[in-house]
This record gives sequence, structure tokens and C-alpha cells, in this order.
Amino acid sequence: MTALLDVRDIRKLYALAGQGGSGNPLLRWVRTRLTSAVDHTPVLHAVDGVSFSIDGGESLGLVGESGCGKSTLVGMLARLSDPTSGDILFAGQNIGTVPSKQFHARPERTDIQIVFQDPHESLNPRFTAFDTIAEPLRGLQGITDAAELRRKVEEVAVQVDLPLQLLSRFPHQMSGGQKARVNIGRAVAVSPKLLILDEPTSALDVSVQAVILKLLVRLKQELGMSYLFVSHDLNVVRLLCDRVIVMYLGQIVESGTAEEIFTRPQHPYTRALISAIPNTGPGAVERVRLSGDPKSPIDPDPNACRFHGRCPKGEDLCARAAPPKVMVNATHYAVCHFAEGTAQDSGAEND
Amino acid sequence: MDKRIPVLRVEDLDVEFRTRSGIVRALQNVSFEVHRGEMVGIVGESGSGKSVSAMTAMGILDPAGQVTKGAITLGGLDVLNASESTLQEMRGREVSMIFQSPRTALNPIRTVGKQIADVLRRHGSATRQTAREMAIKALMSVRIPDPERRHDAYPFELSGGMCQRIMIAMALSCRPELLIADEPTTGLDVTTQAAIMDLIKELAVERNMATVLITHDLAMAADYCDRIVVMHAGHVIESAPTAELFAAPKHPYTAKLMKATPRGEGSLDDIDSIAGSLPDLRTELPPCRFSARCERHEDICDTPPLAAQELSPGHFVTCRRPL
Amino acid sequence: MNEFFKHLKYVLTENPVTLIAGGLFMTLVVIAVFGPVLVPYDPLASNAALTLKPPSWEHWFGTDQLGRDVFSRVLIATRLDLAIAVSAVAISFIVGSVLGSLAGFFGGWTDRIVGRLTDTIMAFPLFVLAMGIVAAMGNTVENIVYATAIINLPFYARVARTEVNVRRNADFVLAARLAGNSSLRLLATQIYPNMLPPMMVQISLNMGWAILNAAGLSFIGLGVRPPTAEWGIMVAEGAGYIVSGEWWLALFPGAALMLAVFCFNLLGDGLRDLIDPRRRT
Repeated sequence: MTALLDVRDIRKLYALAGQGGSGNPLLRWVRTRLTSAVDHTPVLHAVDGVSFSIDGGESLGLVGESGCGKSTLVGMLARLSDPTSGDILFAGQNIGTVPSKQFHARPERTDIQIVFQDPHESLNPRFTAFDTIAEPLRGLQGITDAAELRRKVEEVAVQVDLPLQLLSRFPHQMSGGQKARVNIGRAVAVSPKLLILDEPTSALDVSVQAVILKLLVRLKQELGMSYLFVSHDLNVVRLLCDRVIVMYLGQIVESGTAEEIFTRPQHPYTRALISAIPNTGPGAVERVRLSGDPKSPIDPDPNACRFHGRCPKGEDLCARAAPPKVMVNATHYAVCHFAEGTAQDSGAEND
Repeated sequence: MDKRIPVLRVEDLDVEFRTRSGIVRALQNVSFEVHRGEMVGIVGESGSGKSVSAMTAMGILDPAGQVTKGAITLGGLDVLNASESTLQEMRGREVSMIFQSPRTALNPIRTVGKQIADVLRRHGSATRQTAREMAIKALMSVRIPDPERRHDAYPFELSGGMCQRIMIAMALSCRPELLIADEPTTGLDVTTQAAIMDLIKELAVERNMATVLITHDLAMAADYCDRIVVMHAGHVIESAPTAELFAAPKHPYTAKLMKATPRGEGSLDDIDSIAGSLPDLRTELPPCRFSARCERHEDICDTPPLAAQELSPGHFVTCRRPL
Repeated sequence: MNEFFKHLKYVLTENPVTLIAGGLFMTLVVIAVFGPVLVPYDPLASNAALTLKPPSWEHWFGTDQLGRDVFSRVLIATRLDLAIAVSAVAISFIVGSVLGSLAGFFGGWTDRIVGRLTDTIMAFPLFVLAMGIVAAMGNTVENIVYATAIINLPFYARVARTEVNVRRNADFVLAARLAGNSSLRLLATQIYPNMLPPMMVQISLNMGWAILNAAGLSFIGLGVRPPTAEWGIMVAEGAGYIVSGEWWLALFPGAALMLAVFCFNLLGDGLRDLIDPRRRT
């Protein structure tokens, strides 16, 4: 069965202005001719070789700290920005090659939607809830008849449990939970096949979180969607996701089912993340402490592990060779010299 | 029963805000205490009044706000009746506060070292000559690697976690008796959150400092605090030592809050939302502000007065029908 | 529409300054529209017998050197001055904000070209530019309007550019892109309307300056010419008489100018409150 979404070796690299100088070509020429400075443009590796797939009806969690590249990755998947290299296959079609500025006219635009993180920022302050939900219906389904538009918008409102009288309100007149519903309504109005959720509940009070999460689960079943759930709240990811991938500095460091990731994490970073979750019950996992900040994503060393230096396990090997992808079992892999399993591509077995 | 004199005591505090659309009764009968060496967590959702309580204790309440009743004593000083200059002396020296979004709380065009030095010099702990050295010492105390170099860095060059450490260094530079941390880790990554909270806890223990942790994250409060004070819609509805609170919450709201917080195990069905929403604090409200959302509500709940009862030593509940 | 009037009433009553400014503005508009009907005397009719009479019950503002009633002239000039200011600001705003939005949204060469254009305009003082245009195209009121519009263009272009830049990557803009909008539609329907509230304040301040610009240009003889009644020209003509004691020729038009500028400055906040939905309770 073809996966719904198949991402292959996707990269997003940004060329930065030269060290200490401007990007101005004339100045660069002058600098390199008159000084001994080497003309080298630093490259920021925001997303560096990420591959994964999502099947129909599946819920994949994407976890990682700020700066790991999740937002950049989401931007590319939703075709809001273009990858530097790599393929994005959606239902068999290569959508990565369509420039992002023209993607709005493609039929696939309806199939991939995003629920944004901050309901405050993601709603146009001048649009009522009605306008916001109507926008994709007008733009993607071409509905122009006022009566039909109203009918469809109200249908969506009912589906997301948004009281109909709130449709005429502006964002600043609604509560956090209500705004979240408008956000979700807008995204599911066109029945997308893949819904990307970017921290959908992190801006909400805990008393409202549960009902929104349950709504998301219900919608997924009703509309037969797949989810890419990006979140830093690991407890929520565990509750909602079938599989999880962990990103660090632009690369996937571990991937597996939710059960595997949370109970038998293999990568030291994953272990640190899980141990950092505050725990109210007994039997708390021992805290793994990480020292310092992540390395710079600019011009990373291709022959070293990017987690080295912060990793509690660091050894010489980590600074000399990039870690291999180690298959712990058919569904679970970790990119680390010390993961237990079979290394891929390297031929040798690692312990 | 703790007979020591508390570092901070808030007694029966009432705070109102005058707004265009009416008077908002933000706090009502709020009382709690913090002792030396203790970390007290004030837990509540948005609109619960937790930040307002802290701001009032520091004397930095918004001008539209007015204290209509109650008393606040901080290290012996009567905060509500003190002059502004006395309060200024107190802030930074006896009590300090750190906030959410550390990068925005720092001056973007001044190096972090200078900002720490500013605090030190303001309270006479350093002179122009000794400022740099003392600032570097402060950076070391919050475990910032390479402090000599970081001293001359600007906030935009540092990560969120580092900026929060700088804030902590500034707050603790004059060795206050009380630290108020208002959502210090919201917006930071999980691993950084843990590191910052560990740091705060360590420093508090080292200096026998009293700490107030204001947060919406019940689980985080459970991990670090000795006592927890739960607030809802401007009321303190329950306060107890942490272990006791989690073992047996007595207020229906506390129990529901715990049920709404996702934990590691279990399924989505195990977590529940809390029905209804915050009452409008501009209107006339019943004695218990949770009554509209409470399943245990009965007529007796609407009969004033509603005062806190001590159900067991140190465990206070403001409820007519505790669990 | 009901909503709008309710909000209008709220904005006016909430801030007394807005109410005063609003009242003043309405007065100016009424005078501008109904000027010819309101004037007690024909503003262009000269009367050799009544030259340089000080203010009296018959002539509230006195008469000028040709025996014309100053009060009537001041009233009738309102129409011309407001017309010049409004048209100049309107052209300036529309052209400037559109150029600035395109520059801020698309960046790259668009940004560079618009940037150089605004830099060039800013290099010229208004009077030099106006004189240049007048020399090239003729001394008419229209050309003065164009000159004022061009001079104020960079002002709007810069504000628009910044506002668009700030909002370009906002989540709600990305969300609208996901809803099938092309870049241009995004700019027009999502970003541009959100930029209007801050622009309102700029517009009203600009109106004040535009009136002063027009008056200043006619003071030096460009654009409006005698016997047309216009505040600037009247001040120019009256300036010479102050020394000899006939103060009313220059004072009243000058006061009218001041009042108009004052009114527009105060109106800024009120206008912004009016069109920003966040100000609605």
C-alpha cells in the first residue's frame, strides 16, 4: 500500500551572508581580493536529510526542541516553502517539485492543511469566525453562493462543537477554546487527507485541553484523516499518536511506535526528553541532565554526531564519525553509535 | 504546626480593577504564607489571579488596581502601607521576581553582564570597580559556562534557557529572602524547563531562600514544591503540602484539575475537561465562584460566608462540601 | 450598518478629545460644502469704499485691501484648502501604500526599486519640487496637488512596507495561503486591511501637513493665485499689512489654518479606533 505521505531525504539549507560582511557581491569581491579572507558562505542546515512516511489514518508525532527544524519541516510539507533538495510524495504524486508560490492552485492544496499553534496569532483580527471558516470554502471549493456558503460553514461549526451564534464574533471576543475550534474548523472544512497540527493545545488551559484533544480524535475518525502532530508536550503525544519521530538539529534521531519510544528509548536525547517530563506519580524516571546548548546548525561537521558535547554518553567515536541508523526492530530505529540493534549501511554490528 | 515567622504573609487580600466595562473583583479573601527554605506553588489557570497576587505582594500592581481589603507582610514590612521609596529598596534586595519570556524581560541593547551589574550597584553590593567581577561570579552561580565571555554577550545572542539563567542571576544577585517566579519556564523546551527548575530549587536550598512558583502546570509544581496553593477565579480554594494534595485532594476543582492533566500512561478517555468557563468577575457572584461548574453544588454552597477550613494540619479548603 | 453607528457613538463618547475633534471636523466639512450659501458677502466682490476696515458687526473679520469681507473669504477658502489637502493625501496614501506593500511583501528587486524611488523623492524639499513641477507643467492648483502628493508618498510607502513585513509571516497569513489564496490575494485581502488602523493616524496627521503645504506654496505664489480665496494666499497678502496695524487680514486666515490642522491631529486616534475591530467591546 502506498503511504499517504512519503518524505525522502528532504533538506532545507539557507545560505547566510558572509562572515562579518554583507551579502553584497561587490563588497565580497573587494574583501576577498584585498584581504586574506576566504570567500566562504556559511550554510544553515535547518532540515538535513529527513525521511519518513505517514499512512492513511495514521497519527505520527513529531517531537523536538526549538531550533530542531520542526517548523521548517512543517512549512515544506504544507508547501508553504520549497525544499532545497529531496522529494515529497503525496498519494504517489511528487508535490515537492511544484513551487510553493503556485501550490495554491493545485488540487492537492485541499488535501494538506494545518492547525496552527497560537489561536491568537492564527486568526485574522478583522475576520469574524464565519469569514475565517468560509475562506477555504471559497478559495478551494469555489463556493460563491451565499446561502450555500452559510450552510456549509454552519455544518463545519456543528462538527467542531462551535455554538452557531459565535460565528459573527471577532477573535478578541472569543475564549481560547472557542478560537481553537475556529482554527480547527477552518482546517477541516475542506476535508483534508493530511492534517498537520502544530502544538494545537499548548496555548490552552488544561481544563479545555481534554475536550479539544477528544474533538481532534473524533474528527480524525469521522473524516478519515492522517495526523502529523507536532508538540513538545510528550504526555499528549503519547496519548494521541501511533508513531513518533524525534528530531534534533535538523535530523531524525529516533523513530518508532509511541510505546517503543516512551518505554524503550534508545537515543540519549530521547531518554533525556522523557526523563524531563514532570511526573506526579511514583516511580519517576531518573532525570538525565543535558549540559549546555545545542550546537550551531551552521556548517555542521558531517563526520560527527551533532548531539556530541551535550550527550551524557559522549565518547571519542562520536566526534570522529557520524552515527549510523541502527534498526532496533522492524518499526524502531535510532541514530546513535550506542543503540542496540542492527546498523544499516555500515555493514558492522554495533553494541 | 509551623510557628516560624513567615517571610511572606498575605492575609484576606481583596483586589479590584476599575475597567471600562465595570469593576473586576480580581481577588477575594486570598491568604497564604511562605516560610524560609520553602517552595510554595501557586497553581491556577488563566484568570485565576495568581499573577495579580504576586504583583500585589511586590507592590507593582497596575494603577487601575486597588487593594480594598487585607494585609501583606514581607519580611516584617507592611507592603500595602509602605512608601514607594521603601518598596524600591525592598525590590531586588529582600524580594525578587522573575518572569515568563526572559528574553523580552532583558534590555536588548545592553550586555547581560552590565544588566546584572546594574542591579548590584543599585543596591550597593558592588561599586563600578568591582561590578564586572561580581557579575561574573553571579553568572557562575547560575552555572553558565564560559562566564567571562558571556558577560559581554547581548540577550539576542543567547538561547531562551540562558536568558532565564541571566534573569535568575539578576534576581538573586543581592541574596533576597524571597524569590517569586512567575511562569519561569513557559515557552522553554522540556529539557530546558527541567534544567531551570532544578537550578532554582538548588539555589533555594543552598541559600535557605523562600520561593513562590506561579504556574499553570500542576505536574511541575508537584515535582518541585513543598506546598501547593490552588487558585480559581480569584479565590484560594485549597492549599496543602504537596504529597497530601495529590494523595487526597479535597476541593472538587482540584480533583478535576488533576483529572484534566494528561499523564504518561492511560488513554485519552482518562482525561476530562472541566465543564463551563470562568465566571465573569464583573458581575455579582455567589460565595463559591466554582458553583456554576460544580457537580456537588447544593443550596448550602450559596449561603455566605464561605471561609477556609483546616481539614487536617496544614491542609486548608474553601468549600462547603469537600470531598 | 447599525453596528457601525453603535461603534461610532462609542468611539465619540469614550474620549472627549475625539468628540471635540469630530465636532470640529464636521463643522469644517459643513462650511466647505455649504460655503457659498453661508457667506454673508460675495468673497470676490471688491468695494473701494470699504477697504481695510477693522472687525465690526457688519464685517466680523473686517475687510481687506480691496474691500472684500474677510469672514466670507475665510469661509469660502475652507472648501479649496480641504479639497487640496484631501486629494493630495488620498493620492499619496493610495499610491504610497500600494507601492510600500508590494515592496514589503515581495522584497528583492521590487523593494530595491521602490526604495530608490522614495529616496529620490525624499531628497527634494517640497518647494523645490513644486517649483520644478510648476515650471515644467504650469502653475495650476492641480499641479500643486500632485507636488504635495509626491512629497508625502515616501511617508506612506515606508509605513506600509514595515507593516506588511511584520505581518507577512504571521500565522493567519499562512493559514490564508493554505485556504487557496495566491500571494497577491493574500496581500490584498489579509494583510492590507490589517494595516489600515495604524495608517489612519498617519493619514490624519498628514492632512494637517497637506493643508500647511498648500498654504505655504500659495504663500510663495505657486498654485493658487489672486483673487481666489485661500488661507495661505490670504496670510501672504495680509502679512504686509501687519506692520501698519491692520492685523485682521492675516490673523483670521492664520487662525483658520491652525484650527484645521489642530482638528486633524486630534482626529487621528479617533479614526483609528473607528476602524480597528479590536476596539469594539
